[in-house]
Amino acid sequence: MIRWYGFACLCWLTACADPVHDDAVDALGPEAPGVKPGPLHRPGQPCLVCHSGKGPAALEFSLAGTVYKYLESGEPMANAVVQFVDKAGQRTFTGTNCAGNFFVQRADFDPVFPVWTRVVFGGFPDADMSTPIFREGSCAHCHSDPPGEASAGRIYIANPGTPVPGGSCP
Amino acid sequence: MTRFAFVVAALLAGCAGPEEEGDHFIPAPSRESFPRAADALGSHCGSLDCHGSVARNLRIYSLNGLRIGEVTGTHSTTDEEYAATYQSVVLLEPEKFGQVIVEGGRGPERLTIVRKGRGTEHHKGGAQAPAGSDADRCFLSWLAQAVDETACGNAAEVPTPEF
Repeated sequence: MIRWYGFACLCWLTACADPVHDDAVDALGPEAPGVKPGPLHRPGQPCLVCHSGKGPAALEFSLAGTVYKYLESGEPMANAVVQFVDKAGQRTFTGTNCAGNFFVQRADFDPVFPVWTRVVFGGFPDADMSTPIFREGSCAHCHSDPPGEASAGRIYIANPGTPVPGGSCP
Repeated sequence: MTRFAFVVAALLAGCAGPEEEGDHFIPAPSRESFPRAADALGSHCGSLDCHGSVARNLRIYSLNGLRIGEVTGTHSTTDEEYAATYQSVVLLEPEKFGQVIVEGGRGPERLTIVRKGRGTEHHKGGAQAPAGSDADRCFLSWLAQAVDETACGNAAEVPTPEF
């Protein structure tokens, strides 16, 4: 009886495993030293790898990413507003924290793609995405550093040399 | 000995591929007319999270997503990128594609790119070019070698809604 129970458990566990997802999570590597899991962790990484509902993170996001001051530098852009409007006309917005991170929980906004996005920060021109998002909720999926054939580069607010107020996390 | 030679010859013949016939010709609309259709494809299908990815069988290179070489950002789509997308579209289903072209663009739903764009076949990206839409009419007009400039122009523009 115990043997059959163990066999059934093994089958169930095997059926649920997603090696592709597991590999994607592993590829993110460990947490940065001194930064605990939470809103400030892993800036610039594709958030929905862990926050898509497949785990390991419990909180599920529909859209999430990181905004920087400049394309070329890793200085986070705090207190920017990120606005979204989807194909169905649903709208929402969120703010960036001191790590530049922002996120939208799926429970609050479950968009109908495509989704158009704008980053707003007082005194600077609105930064509109030139193309809508068609399926990918992790901004870093397309906005990794450095820019290249398959990446638009970091999401940023200002051109080089333009002073931008705000610091980084304490 | 003779029997041995016969067996070897049979084995070699069994392993041989088809005879080399030189270049294969695939009927296709002109490469010169393609940018109008490609711009519409790029706007509706070519973002980095969709067909602007080297992971897709259908790769779309454009200012909306995947670039070639040193070109980054939203600089205009280059001739090299149009050529690469053209190759990807034509060679996706070369035999069916050639048949549709030979028949003047009739029966375009034989092509997976048309069915998926229309959403009549499962497509993770949904119906980005429903039947009769500007994007659909643009692509079909290119297949028929009579590019609908108006439809292609409209399809290339994806208006941003009010925030």
